[in-house]
Amino acid sequence: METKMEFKHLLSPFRIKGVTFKNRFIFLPHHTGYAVDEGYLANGLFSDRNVRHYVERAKGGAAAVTVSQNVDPDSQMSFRYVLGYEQRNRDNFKRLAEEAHQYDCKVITQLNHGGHTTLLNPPQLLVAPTQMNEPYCHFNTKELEPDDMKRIKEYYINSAAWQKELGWDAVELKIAHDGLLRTFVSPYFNRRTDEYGGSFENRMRYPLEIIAGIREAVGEDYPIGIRLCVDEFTWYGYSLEYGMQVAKALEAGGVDYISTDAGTFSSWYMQIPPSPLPLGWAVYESAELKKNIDIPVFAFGRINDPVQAETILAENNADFIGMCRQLLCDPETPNKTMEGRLDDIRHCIGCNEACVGVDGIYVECIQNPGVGREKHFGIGTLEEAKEKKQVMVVGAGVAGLKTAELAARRGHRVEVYEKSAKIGGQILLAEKVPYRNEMEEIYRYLRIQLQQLGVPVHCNVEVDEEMIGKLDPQVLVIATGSVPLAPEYEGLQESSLTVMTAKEAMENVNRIGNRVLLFDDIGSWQGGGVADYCMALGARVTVLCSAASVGVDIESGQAYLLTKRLYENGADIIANHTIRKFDGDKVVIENTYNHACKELEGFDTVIIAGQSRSENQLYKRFRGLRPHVYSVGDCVAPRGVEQAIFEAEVLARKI
Amino acid sequence: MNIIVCVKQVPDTNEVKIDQKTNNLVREGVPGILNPYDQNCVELALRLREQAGGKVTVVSMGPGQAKEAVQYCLDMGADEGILLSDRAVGGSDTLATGYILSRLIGSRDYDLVMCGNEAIDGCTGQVGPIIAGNLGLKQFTYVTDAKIKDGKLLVQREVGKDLELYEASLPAVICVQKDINQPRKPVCSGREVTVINAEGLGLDADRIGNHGSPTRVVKIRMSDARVKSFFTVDDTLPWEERIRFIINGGIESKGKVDLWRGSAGELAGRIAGCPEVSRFLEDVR
Repeated sequence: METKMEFKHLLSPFRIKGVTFKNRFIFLPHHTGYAVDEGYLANGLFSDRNVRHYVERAKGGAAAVTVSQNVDPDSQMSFRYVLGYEQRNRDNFKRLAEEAHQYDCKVITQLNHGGHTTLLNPPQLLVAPTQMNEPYCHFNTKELEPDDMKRIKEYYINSAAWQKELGWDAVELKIAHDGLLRTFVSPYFNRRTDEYGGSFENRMRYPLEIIAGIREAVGEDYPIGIRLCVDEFTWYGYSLEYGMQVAKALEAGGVDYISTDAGTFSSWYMQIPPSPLPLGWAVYESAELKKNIDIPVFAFGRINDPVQAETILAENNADFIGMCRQLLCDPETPNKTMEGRLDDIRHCIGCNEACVGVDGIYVECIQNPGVGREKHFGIGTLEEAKEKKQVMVVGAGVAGLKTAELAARRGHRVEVYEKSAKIGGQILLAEKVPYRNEMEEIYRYLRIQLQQLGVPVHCNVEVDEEMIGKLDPQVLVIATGSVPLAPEYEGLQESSLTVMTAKEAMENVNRIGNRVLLFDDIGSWQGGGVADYCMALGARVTVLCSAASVGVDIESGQAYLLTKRLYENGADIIANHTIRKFDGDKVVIENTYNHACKELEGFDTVIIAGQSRSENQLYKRFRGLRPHVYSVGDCVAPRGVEQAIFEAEVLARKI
Repeated sequence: MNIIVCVKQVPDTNEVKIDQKTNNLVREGVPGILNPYDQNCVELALRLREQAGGKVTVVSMGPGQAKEAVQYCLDMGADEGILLSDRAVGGSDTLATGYILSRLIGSRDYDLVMCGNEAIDGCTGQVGPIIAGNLGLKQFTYVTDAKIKDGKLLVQREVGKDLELYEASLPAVICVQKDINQPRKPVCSGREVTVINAEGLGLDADRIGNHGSPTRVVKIRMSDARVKSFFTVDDTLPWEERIRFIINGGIESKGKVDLWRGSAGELAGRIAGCPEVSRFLEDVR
């Protein structure tokens, strides 16, 4: 009674104008941050790193990769944003087309003028149809003059035509979550009184003129697509009904496909939806497009699995499946689908921790260190070990499991030892936080890999010196993680309150009372996330943070939604304060700037989200005594999943 | 191997007529067909018979015209067809129907009881599980395939995107999904439907008919029957409401939820003490 899923739609070719896409996986456009910035008039250079990044997805089996570019050197969103008409990009643009085509993968140009939106602070000159800032930010804009519009239009047309000449396969314009063209379409931003504003026809005029210009330059057979924001999800913005009107006008204007998009820079958590947004949440938007227009539609929005993707296509809710983060996380998703290796697909968990991140500089991935490092960690770079060794990994957290996986893949004989009953380490606690349950995927993937590689994982085994002596492994990897620092405050011993670390609280739900003070002294999920968890249990929570807000080191979309949940559920947030001391059932807090103290009372539980220390006794005991003793992950220094997996990748390659 | 298949005749139209007084479906005068789920169910039963040998008996309950549905099953290849038709059982809801059918089935030899997962008129999916409950049998709903191997039943359930595979001893009840196989075309079998009344089944008069049916239909309205695996968002909602609706996975945000905390014992006590539940418990007693 085995049922094998067939991917009849997902794996079938589809033709748009003169271009046949081999399947329905599209690597959606994104700002990688990999372009090189050599200073004024020498930035936005399409780098070797860029080329490898896209070729990796071509190797992985995608039908097309889309390269997002800025068009105007005077108005870039970032100096590391690829510039579409920069002549120095010729060689690498050509090289990408040639290398991607070796895998029958098409290369799509995506052109965007940053307009009123930017990643720079302070930005270059921002422009808009009418002088106005994007409501999320205060940077103002220049109202475009007819000459500016003519010049920008030329950039669009020249970039498209030039890249076609260099061997690229299609062009897409962005009327999406950021950039100039959406502001022309938007009734809120576009208040012009000339022929480019006022009525719907006038607002559509500028994009349609650019499309017509490109059509003339690239010919009838070259696909022109639009990445279209169909719902802005803002107080000022348009929603789906207007989005459909725009789509119809674009179809009438000669566009060959619409790639669904939503959100704006004011609602950025909808454009790169983090884990609180359900998988495939935006399918209704693509389905609505399919009802309204006849040209092909790309779906988007947390689609991370071929079964889900096939359903979307089978129900005729879209013609292509757009994936960005999923193909970052596992570039081989299409190939694994073709081979029926569904369990081997490493799913994107929508954490946004490394692809968006707090720094927002480079696109990376917490689960796949190969993102942006394709040259070193990409497909086909893992070499078989010259000497097959017996490797003992102590600790089945993320770092230990990842080291074991890659070491085994290289041919080593690996065994993993875990003192608790379950693998996963601290993820087992992190996944209990609301909207973080997909964290499970991190160890789910690794567990499946270890099973397939035949790596034994011994749970409930506490490794001691004697055992190491007896087993005498050639390589000893200590991945024993970290433990939170026990809180030390004046008056803590005498306090009548239940005081715990965030870890203790997550392990002992029954000790969390009804009135919780949570001290976020770390800015990560251990703070705000645990507060959210306590609220989900029904507790009233006050969050105290030593920084200016809660969760300062959480990616901004996640942090926004987290903070919104905390406030909406009635949390009090006290910023810029630390705990000074305990006084009976009171907590004395101190302002981090002027050191003024005040007393808080009415709590039964205080949870401290603070620093941890490496659990590295075993490592210290054996380092120097035996050859080939390594530590990895939190055992080296307590940090996040991204660092643990990265270091495991580096370590496993040198064993 | 004795297989008993429960089938139902359903109106052959989407325009369901409802008796304004009793709120029950009006079956008289509406052309009837064999419930599509039951067609797949009978087909699966016939395949099991082909595989394991034995006999397929089809049972149904309904007015005289429901004979056609049972006859259809006989013509598909069932060995015996029984229709229970009696005014005393008219107006029975799923609870009463499940009880009556379980008495009928219990009076006969059986190894496996099969039902369509639901009927396309009421769509409750309750009768099969109620039969299983009354007979004290294990049950499998949402079944998409079944086989007999070494006297054991192998069952495949499809739940959401998951397939669950079970092995079970007999007897058991399985409720079969539609479109899982291609039902064979009926050919004239020459076998006839046996129509019986409720006498001899030893039915408790308080558990049958309108009188024995606690279900009250409050309102019936047409639903959007399209199959969709995604939720749609009401575009007229304010933007934050749309986002909240999406984050809730397509569920409208209700008012504040009252959360209770405590040990399992404490919570059970509190739940039993809340007015709706205690009223229900009184009724059950």
